[in-house]
Amino acid sequence: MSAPPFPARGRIAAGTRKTLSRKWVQRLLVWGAIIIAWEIFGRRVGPFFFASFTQTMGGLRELVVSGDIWVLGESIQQMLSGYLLAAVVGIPVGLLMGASRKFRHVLEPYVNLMFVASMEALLPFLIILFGVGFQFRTMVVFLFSVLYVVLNTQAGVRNIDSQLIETARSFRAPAWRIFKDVMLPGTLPYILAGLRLALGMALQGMIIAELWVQTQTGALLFGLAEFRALDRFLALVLVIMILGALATEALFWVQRKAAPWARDLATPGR
Amino acid sequence: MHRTDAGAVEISNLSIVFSQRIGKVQQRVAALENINLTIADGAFVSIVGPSGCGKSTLLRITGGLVAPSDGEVRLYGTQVLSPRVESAMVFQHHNLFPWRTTLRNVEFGLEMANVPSAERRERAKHYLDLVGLTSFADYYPHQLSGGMQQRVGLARALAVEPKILLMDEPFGALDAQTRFLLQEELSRIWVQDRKTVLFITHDIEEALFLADRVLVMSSRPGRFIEDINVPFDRPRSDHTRGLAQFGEMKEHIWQLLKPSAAGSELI
Ligand SMILES: Nc1ncnc2c1ncn2[C@@H]1O[C@H](COP(=O)(O)OP(=O)(O)OP(=O)(O)O)[C@@H](O)[C@H]1O
Ligand SMILES: [Mg+2]
Repeated sequence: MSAPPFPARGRIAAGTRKTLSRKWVQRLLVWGAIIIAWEIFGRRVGPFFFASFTQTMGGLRELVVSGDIWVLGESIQQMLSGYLLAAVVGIPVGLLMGASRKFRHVLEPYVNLMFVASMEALLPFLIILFGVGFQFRTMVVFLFSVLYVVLNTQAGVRNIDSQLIETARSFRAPAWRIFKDVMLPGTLPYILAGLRLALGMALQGMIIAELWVQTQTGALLFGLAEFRALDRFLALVLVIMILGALATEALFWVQRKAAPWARDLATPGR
Repeated sequence: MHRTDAGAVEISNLSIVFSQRIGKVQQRVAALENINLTIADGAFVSIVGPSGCGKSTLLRITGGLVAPSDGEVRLYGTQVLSPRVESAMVFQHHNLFPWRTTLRNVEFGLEMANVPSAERRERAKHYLDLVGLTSFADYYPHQLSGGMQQRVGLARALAVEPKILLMDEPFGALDAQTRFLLQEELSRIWVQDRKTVLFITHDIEEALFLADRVLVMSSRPGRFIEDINVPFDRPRSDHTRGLAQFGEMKEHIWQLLKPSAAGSELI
């Protein structure tokens, strides 16, 4: 029984590498095609309606040289505070809703209502409650993202195999160890997936809140569009999209590192 | 209350009734009725019976996971009210923790018993070695084959060094070859330290190959219909399976189970 486990390992690794490189070739081809199409389209419709790829890159340079781009940094800081709040509130609430039927019955209607309600419609009301400052923007980001944390965490708890809990009991695990050694690790992949989805929502919430109260990145976007500075406008949108994609990719990585046993929840589209 | 003359497992007047909603009616199912059984220290006892006759339920009551409606179970004289140190379970589905590596799975029971980490690791490695999986210590359960997963489940139960092993069709989901292999391995491990084993199966041959004593169960209500002594010498091997008496006993048990199996839509 001491034979080397899976002698074909090297071959498997090589196979994975091959698929990886193929994936990147495909991606580069698609991106290249999009950029070329973008360039042609931009040149044909003219700068009043659209900016071509090269113009957008010029706009990006202007944003960086003028320092306007750094407003994004401030926006992101505020976004993170709302996002962290969503994590700090969402995870325990999700755990409780998953574990306790009573808790779930009380909270579920509200959670579902919030899920189907249009968050945008709530914004004027939130302005009345919180003003237009830091609190307002944090709350919007929080409300945009918290449900994803709650619902995923709850689904994680409810998906735990009851047989595993019984197994832990058979080894005389006390209740708190069942929580710590079965419920938490069993839910972790779902919590991380929830945090990843929530991050995208937080970014949306950030922009929408700032558009509403005309501040920071939102105000900049609005101004650029109004003055038809489409090159810088598109450059800024592009930067936001890329940051969002990178952050999501980073969270996928965290998921794979922290919960290597649950790859299916941590593999982007495969 | 302790009695020194007690058997390893003493089940007396045990009954359990499940209340179940089927469609619109509340049905009461007597899953086990008036079960009595004494297992001597160091005996290997198998229970065979048709699907749904209450084998798992009996084992879970013995393991302290389910409370009976009536009667009691004692392990070495002490009544079972919750899972006891004397026993450890191996399950039909391996029930390994997917987020723990093989070694950490084997350590689980020792962790719950607060065994210091150095000793814990040592013991887990010993039992992993016993089931031949030392080189898979760092694998996650989903990276193991079905037979390996069951071996880990066995090592996890052995690691807490229980006096009694409670096994619920541990090889039921395996292919025939792997099952044969694991039966021989379990037999070999058992010969080494002669634990008391209560082994559930619906494979008649498996029961005869492993046990000193086979109890045959009927369903609805679940009760024992025969108690058979298994005389074959140890260590047992393929030779044992080929003996004429082995075949006769197999046929005899099959005849006992037949009416019960025919009367039940479950199988
Ligand atoms: N928690 C429960 N609630 C209601 N009925 C139950 C419950 N657990 C078991 N039963 C019933 O008790 C009976 C015995 O179940 P058990 O799982 O012990 O059978 P088994 O002999 O282990 O079957 P198998 O060989 O298929 O594993 C079945 O009819 C089952 O429907
Ligand atoms: Mg069963």
